[in-house]
Amino acid sequence: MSVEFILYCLMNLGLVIVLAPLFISLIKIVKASAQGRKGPSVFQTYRNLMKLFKKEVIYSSNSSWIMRITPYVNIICMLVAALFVPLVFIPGPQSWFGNVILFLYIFALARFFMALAGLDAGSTFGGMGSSREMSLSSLTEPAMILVFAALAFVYQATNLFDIFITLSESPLMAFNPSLMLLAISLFIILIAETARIPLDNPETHLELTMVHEAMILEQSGRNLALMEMSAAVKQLLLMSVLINIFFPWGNTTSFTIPAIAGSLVLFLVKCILLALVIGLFESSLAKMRLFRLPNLLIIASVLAFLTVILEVFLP
Amino acid sequence: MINITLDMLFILATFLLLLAALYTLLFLTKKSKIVRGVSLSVALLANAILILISSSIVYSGTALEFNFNQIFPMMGMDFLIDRLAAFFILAVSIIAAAVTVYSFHYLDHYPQTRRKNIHIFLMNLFVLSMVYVVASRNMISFLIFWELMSVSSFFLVCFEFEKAETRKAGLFYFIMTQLSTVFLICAFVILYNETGSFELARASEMSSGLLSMAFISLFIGFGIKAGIIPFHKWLPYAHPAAPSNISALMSGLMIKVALYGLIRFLLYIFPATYLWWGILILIAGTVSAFLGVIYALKEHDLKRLLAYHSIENVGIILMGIGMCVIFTSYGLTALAMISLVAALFHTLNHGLFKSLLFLTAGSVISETRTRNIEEMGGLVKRMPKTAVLFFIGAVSISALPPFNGFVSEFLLFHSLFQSSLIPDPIVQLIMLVCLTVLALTSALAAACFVKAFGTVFLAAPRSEHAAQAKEASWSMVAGPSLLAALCIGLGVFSFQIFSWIGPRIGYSFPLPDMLPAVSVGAVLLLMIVIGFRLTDSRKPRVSETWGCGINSQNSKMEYTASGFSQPIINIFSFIYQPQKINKRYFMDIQETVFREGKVEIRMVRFFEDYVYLPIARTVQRISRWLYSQQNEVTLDPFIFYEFLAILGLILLVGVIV
Amino acid sequence: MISDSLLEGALKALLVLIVISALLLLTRKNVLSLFRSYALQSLLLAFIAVVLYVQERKIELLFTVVLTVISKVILIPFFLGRVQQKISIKRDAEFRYIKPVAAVILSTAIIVIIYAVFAPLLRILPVTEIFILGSVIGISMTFMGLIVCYSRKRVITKVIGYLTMENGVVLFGIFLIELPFLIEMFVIMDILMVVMITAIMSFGMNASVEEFHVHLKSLRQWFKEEDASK
Repeated sequence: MSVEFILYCLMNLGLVIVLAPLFISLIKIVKASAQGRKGPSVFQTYRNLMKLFKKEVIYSSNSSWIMRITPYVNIICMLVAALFVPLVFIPGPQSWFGNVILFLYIFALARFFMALAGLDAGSTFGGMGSSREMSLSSLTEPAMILVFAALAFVYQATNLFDIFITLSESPLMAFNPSLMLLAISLFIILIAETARIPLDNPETHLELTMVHEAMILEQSGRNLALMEMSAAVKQLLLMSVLINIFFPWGNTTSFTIPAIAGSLVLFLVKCILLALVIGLFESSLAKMRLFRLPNLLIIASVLAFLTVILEVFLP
Repeated sequence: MINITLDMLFILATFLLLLAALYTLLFLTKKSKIVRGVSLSVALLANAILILISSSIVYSGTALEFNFNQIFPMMGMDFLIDRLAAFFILAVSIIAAAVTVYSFHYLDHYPQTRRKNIHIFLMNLFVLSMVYVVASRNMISFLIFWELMSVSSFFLVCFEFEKAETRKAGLFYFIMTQLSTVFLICAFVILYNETGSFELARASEMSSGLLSMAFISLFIGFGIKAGIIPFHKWLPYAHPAAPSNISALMSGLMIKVALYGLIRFLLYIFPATYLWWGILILIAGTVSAFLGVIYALKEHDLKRLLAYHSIENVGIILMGIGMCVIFTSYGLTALAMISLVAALFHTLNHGLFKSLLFLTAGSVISETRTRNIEEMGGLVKRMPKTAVLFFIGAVSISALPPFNGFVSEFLLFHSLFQSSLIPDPIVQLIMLVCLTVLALTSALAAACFVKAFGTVFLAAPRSEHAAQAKEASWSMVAGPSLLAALCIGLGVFSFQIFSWIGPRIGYSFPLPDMLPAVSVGAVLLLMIVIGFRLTDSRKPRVSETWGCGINSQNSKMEYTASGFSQPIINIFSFIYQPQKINKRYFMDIQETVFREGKVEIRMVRFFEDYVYLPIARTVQRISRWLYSQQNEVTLDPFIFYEFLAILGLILLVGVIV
Repeated sequence: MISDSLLEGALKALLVLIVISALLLLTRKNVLSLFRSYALQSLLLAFIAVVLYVQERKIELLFTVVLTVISKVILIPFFLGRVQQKISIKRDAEFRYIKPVAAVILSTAIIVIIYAVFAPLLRILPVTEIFILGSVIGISMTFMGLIVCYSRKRVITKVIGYLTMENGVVLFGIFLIELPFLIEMFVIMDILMVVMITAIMSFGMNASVEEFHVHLKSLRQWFKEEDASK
């Protein structure tokens, strides 16, 4: 492990922790202005998190150690996953981080714990949330694997670092038309994984619409803050995977301050644009019925599969 | 100085296992626990020796050869333990050791002394026969020990034979296992016919038609034993009926012995393999994996749920074998090796975590006295150690990092991702479909184990028995603990293990290093925890949280297992085909006064309704017709038929020769 | 001069978009957006013909472009829009035999199967891979059109199915065999007639094929009288 790599780790972690809550509030602002409201301040999510960190933790008397460790497992999973996705600076190829399959399954681990914590307190809401989350994720996961298999076909790599390096060397590869399909399906996955409309509604606590919120209903205080933080980190990570694969311009492989500053600015601009798109997308749709959601996820998989077909038939 | 060689040690281990078995027979009616204790300790020692021998062979690669031809002449008692066999013996002996420890106290709650002693006798014999099936170098000895394995496991399944359910399961198992032997014998005869020897060595060239026939009958024969769909039906019957330690052995080991046979024949005996075999195996594996987990999701019987997961995992292992054959036929040996190692490593891993799950499930079942998970719940507080062990098994089987189940599925994913190296686009697409289904399967397995762990261990107890459950005794914790430690160790240190073993077999494995990820995670965790401790010293409060407006929650309000799996059943309703049957009965003919109603939701049992039962009915119909042809029920006509049959056979031989 | 690889990339992108438009036709429920998808698909078809013209410089391709744009991008959608305004159907959410998602999966499978069957046959011809893929997608699109035809209940969407089939044939034609321009013109006249007839038949009618029969039955009494007179 070189010094450069350790610096990369620290920088990535720092960026993820600092930026993640920003985009939660940004999307809220976009949605609010689409509905003709003013919307919260950009710093509102940071304030919410600080407030939660100061509050007392209460556990249900039914709950066990699962409830107690889940917030920690979640945030650790997300932070370790954060090392897999270079945001602005790409160090050389790595063998220990960056593998896409491990990346996906770290998310799955976090989800496993979260779903168990939903069942732990024995309340009906939590169980409902876990049940729905596990059912939907069972369809999201194949779609994600297919997307990454398609990327493996295009770039001959199963490591995010390798894919990003290939792209920064020849950014024109991102113009590959069959990647358009992939971008759509990754976008659907992003929406699904971050619990947004039309799959889930992050803003309500209604039985009909809740998936993710229902699972963390029993969490409180700093544990809740950790859960919300890990959701924010997950969103930022998936957003940056989407950005860095399909709009790779600006990523730097040289570890100099001007290069990194430049790519950071570009990254921020691209992220803000993506947040805008997500916000507008969310505002333009209504929540779907629960059993219509599988269709959307299956279409995401089919699009990824079509990409592979094109890649296979047109070598 | 006595030079102890490996074969002497192996024979010592055999002797010890036999001793352990026979010892219980000597003191059959003795009521003391010591008899079983002594026998199990001797068996444990034997297993330890076997672990030692097999791990040294796996590491060094020098094969071990010996025979019993002096004791049993002309029976083909030749044995050869090469790396592949040693690997399987290693798996067998590790898991058998854990099960042996577990069995010290597991049988305590059964009253019948004699039966318990016989049980220990048969268990040791069962383990011995599995070791010898794997070690066999000759088809005759393979079959002998194969049958010994089948028969001893049949008696073990029938432990509680007073229950009608158990008798039915045992009979079903026996018929299926004999059917499997029939197919094996067919294949062996074909091979013998072509090569002229019963030895399990690389066969000479033979015509592709006969070779494919031999392959098909071997695939069916081993497939029945391994529980590949559509030959899987005995698994979900036999496992709930058998005692849990036997379920652990059968699911963890016996079905793996069948897979060993398949791998042995495919890679070491057959002179050639064809692409379509690989595709057949891959597709059969994918279907088994997917349907296994789909059926597991609807199951509320804890052991039957685990049995369906065995079908799923056998499917995953088969996918690895199929990929190996496909890659071999394209000459991609490195990838073929990776997929084979993925299959083998998953075999070991599945043995570990499935035995772990069956053993802990056994502890839970003997405490709660039910197999229905809807009547459990809250056990995490009452059986904390068992809960942790079951949890480790659940995480491993759901293929989540950094546990061992993930590593083997990772290797499989990796080799499926490499399908772009195959020239034929259609094969590539088949592999990608399999990849998608594999991802779906592992996600559904995670869902299923959230359901299982959640309803069995979490929330409030759902029945009287569950509320009064106590922690299992020490041996029933110690045995599974060994397996759990291996599950974690083989996961976290997988990169190190493979980079150590890789050069010895001449391949490198593209595993991600789990250790840095885990250690980074640990450091971050430490930082967060210390940060919290420093900034806030309040202890968390344990209190009533919001219960949807009701003050005190009870177990009736919890989400049930059927509720949990309902969305998945709805999504996959095209497989389950749930039928709602709504019947209403009235007091009078005009149907005005309602008497009673019956509502039933029934899932279609596809294989039972459309495969097994039609075959059974046809056989019954034929035998009924034959019976009706004989108007007299005396012995004479049968002797007459026999006479005719033998005469016909001799004439047939005369015509052919 | 435009490089070959760029043209190839453009063709690939257009093919991807055409497949997406076909999938939209399979899944959309809003009738207006169905028309729009159809117009988009036809426009993409015209673009493909333009790209091929740049590559091959065959003047027939330009005629095809003009004809496609006039008839399929402008005339037919406009016509269908008028019909739709008259009969005021907004949504066609009824499906039979096959649900939209299953239809999407099925059509993906169809592409693969058709590739597996036709690609070896087409390799005999002196064409590059992208031409083979284009013609495979063309054939698959006729099948997708058939799926639209039999899975939708409303007549107006069935017409869209026929039109998709025709687009598939055209795609196949411009990629592989040069249909004589005259035939192509006749085909387009034909489908124009089909659309017009549908428009006339669906006067005031706001429902499915079954209701055609009701309308026809009201005509039957005239025929009956004729029968009686015989």
